Amino acid sequence: MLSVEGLDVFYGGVQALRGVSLSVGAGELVAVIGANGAGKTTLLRAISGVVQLRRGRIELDGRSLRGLAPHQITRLGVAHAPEGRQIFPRLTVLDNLRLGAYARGDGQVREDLDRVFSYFPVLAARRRQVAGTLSGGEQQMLAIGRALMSRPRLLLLDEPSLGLAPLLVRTIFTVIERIRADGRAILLVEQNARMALSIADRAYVMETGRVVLTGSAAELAASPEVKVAYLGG
Amino acid sequence: MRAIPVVVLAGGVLALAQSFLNPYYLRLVDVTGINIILAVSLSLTNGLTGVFSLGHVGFMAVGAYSAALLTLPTARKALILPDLPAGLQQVHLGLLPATLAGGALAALCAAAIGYPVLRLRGHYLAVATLGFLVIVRSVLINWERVTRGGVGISGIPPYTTTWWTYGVAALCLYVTWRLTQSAYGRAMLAVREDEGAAAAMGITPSAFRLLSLVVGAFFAGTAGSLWAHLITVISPNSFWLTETFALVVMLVVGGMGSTTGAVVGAVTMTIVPEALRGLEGGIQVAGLNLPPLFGLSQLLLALALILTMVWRPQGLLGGRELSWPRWLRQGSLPRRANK
Amino acid sequence: MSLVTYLLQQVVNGLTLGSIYALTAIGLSIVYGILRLINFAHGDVLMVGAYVALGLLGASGGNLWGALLGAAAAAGLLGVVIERVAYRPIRRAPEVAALITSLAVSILLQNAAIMIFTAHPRTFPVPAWLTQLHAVGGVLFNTLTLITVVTAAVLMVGIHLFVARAKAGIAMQACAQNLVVAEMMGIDSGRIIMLAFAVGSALAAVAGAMLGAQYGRIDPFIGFLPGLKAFVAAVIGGIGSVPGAVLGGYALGFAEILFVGLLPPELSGYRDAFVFFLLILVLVARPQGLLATGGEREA
Repeated sequence: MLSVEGLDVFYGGVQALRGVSLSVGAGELVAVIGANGAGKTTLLRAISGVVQLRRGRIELDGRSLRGLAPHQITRLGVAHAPEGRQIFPRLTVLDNLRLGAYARGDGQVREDLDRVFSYFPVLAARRRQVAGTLSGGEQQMLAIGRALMSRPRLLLLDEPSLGLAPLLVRTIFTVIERIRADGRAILLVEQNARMALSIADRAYVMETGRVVLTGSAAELAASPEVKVAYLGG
Repeated sequence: MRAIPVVVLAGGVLALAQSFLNPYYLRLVDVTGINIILAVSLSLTNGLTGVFSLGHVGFMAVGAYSAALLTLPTARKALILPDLPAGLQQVHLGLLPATLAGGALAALCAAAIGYPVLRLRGHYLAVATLGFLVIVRSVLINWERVTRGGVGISGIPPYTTTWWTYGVAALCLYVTWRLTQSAYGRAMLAVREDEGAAAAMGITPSAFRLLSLVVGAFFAGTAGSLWAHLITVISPNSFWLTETFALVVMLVVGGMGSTTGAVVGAVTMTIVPEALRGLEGGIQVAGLNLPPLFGLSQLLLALALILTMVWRPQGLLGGRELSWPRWLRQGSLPRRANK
Repeated sequence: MSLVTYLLQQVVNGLTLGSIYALTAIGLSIVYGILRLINFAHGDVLMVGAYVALGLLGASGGNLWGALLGAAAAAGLLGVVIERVAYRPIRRAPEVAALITSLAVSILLQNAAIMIFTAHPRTFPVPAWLTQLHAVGGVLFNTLTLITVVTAAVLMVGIHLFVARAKAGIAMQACAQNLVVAEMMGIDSGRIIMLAFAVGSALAAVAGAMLGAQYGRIDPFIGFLPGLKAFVAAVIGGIGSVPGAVLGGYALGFAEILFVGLLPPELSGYRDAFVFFLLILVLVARPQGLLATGGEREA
């Protein structure tokens, strides 16, 4: 459903992406792993329209996303849970979630709220709380829940494990698997390669703005290069 | 000193101007010189440290009023300002000491407001400096015993000559150049580029920002004095938004942060509005008599400025120093690497 | 007049002036919250609103509410046009460019007004029923003052509820807290910014009409200083929030009236100087304002 080809992105004079190509099929969970600064976040920001492309093609079900504004891309069914959560800190949990459904006017927000609360029951308990007062793990749940509120066909997840305790990471990854099981395609960017490869169907390895390896998650997890570089030997 | 030929050349041009130009054009030459002092001194403050001051005209006003009070003949003072404090009533000074005093008082004001205001950043700093201008204006309007309020002071002796004007302008350029070239100046540049790095090098950014504000204010004060003794009439309205706006446009035309650009901007912004002002008197176009349109020249300038910002937010000259002809280049004006 | 009556009279005066500052400050504050732009032209939009209200009052034979509504609509439209033409193209430019542009828009509006209406003040005649005096416990005020204070209060409560509860209002808060992520939520930030300009300018026009009616005359320069003072009010209250702007507006109104009322008359002319002195004090002592809502944008 998502197909990306030959992306070049520059920040000022610095090239952040060099000819990146990848694809995500319907209902597929695809991981992108790599070190800090490999260009993973830039890739997601390019797909959701936040940064401009110098060259390349991004298509969603054959429709080009190039040149569209972020809010237009969201309306086409791509939701982005950005790096470092970036929830709206002075709004309540409920307002944050409702904003996730901003683009939709179909009156089924109630149903989606219930679904998000079933994924993350703690958010239901804290629905009237101001989001800035949530713990880091709760904020991450809110960021994912907020992205789900738009009923995306494709969910972009940027480093959901960042800065969280191992137990929480496990909880969140369990929910990610449930989201995929509910039929949404997911593009997951992670530094925690072990966790990412354990739930992904396929994966890409990025280094300094390039895709250097690709294959099924199982193949990559078994590959010597990946083992040495990303799985601690 | 390769600068000597430039000075000699400029002096020659001014001497020729003095002997051949009619009074109207000669006055325009003088106004240009005063605007050069204003623009260059603001670019010193603004360019070197990134302090975008909208209060520069306030310093000019302080210089103009204080110098005028010092040079006004005692008989005139007794007539128009009978309630002046006795000390001021008796004083009658020449242009130089009065101008120095005006500049010094402006510098003092800068030092006083600089301490609190320079701790602010960006927008807040701009509003606070504009606030200084409002305070100065408020004092000029209300302290009638000394300023004659909204009426203003007239009959100021016409001491300003082309030589004085361009002498001060040259001094202002020289000081700006020395400041940029000195260890202090390099520190100031460092402040503009990266405050954190400057602080790490043991340079206190606030001290240098204050210095640049004070020096800029001093020259604004001297420009005010020259202005008062050229036009011979000053009132609170001489030092308000129109003047502030003109100064902003000069810097934008010149490309913010460039000294030579400020000179170009000052020259342009003296001549263009003067030409536009002709339109306001009512003109004949193809047999039609257009009525006088007050406000048109300002309106066109504002429009031009908005368009400039839309297309070239870095200013018309893009913040670069203009290079001098090759044979003059070494030892003349500073050439700074700007983005 | 007893001291109590005198003080109550000052309270009425402070409320009136504060209402005008508060109405003006709201627009500046929400625009600054989203764009980090000090809109120097806001006060001049207020001035245009006052002229439109004057014209409509004359044309309608003294229909106050019609004039207010018309002025609000015209100014709202003007605000949208200014945003579109002058501010939108420089959204990604350095902040000094935005500052200069808004100063230029201010000068442009003032001079356009000079060309259309001349620089001479025009009297602002108000219908007779508005000048009817009332006395409550020795405190004097006219119907106009009553209407000014009540209308302003109603509008401010309305705007506050809109921003806090309505979908577009919450989207406005989201844009102020994180513009990029707000866009990721499917919010068209361009439309929200347009809405902020429309609402803020409409409120400023109401303030302008009231200012004109209170002073009885208007000229092309009446807006600039109140606009600047309203920014001071917004900063005092904590810029970016509607309650902050309102609180700051009333605080500034009361402070100014107290300054004029308590000090000898020969000092009352220094009220503008006093306001900006206050600004510098507040900025230095408490740069985040009295109601510290923060307002920093996350990365």
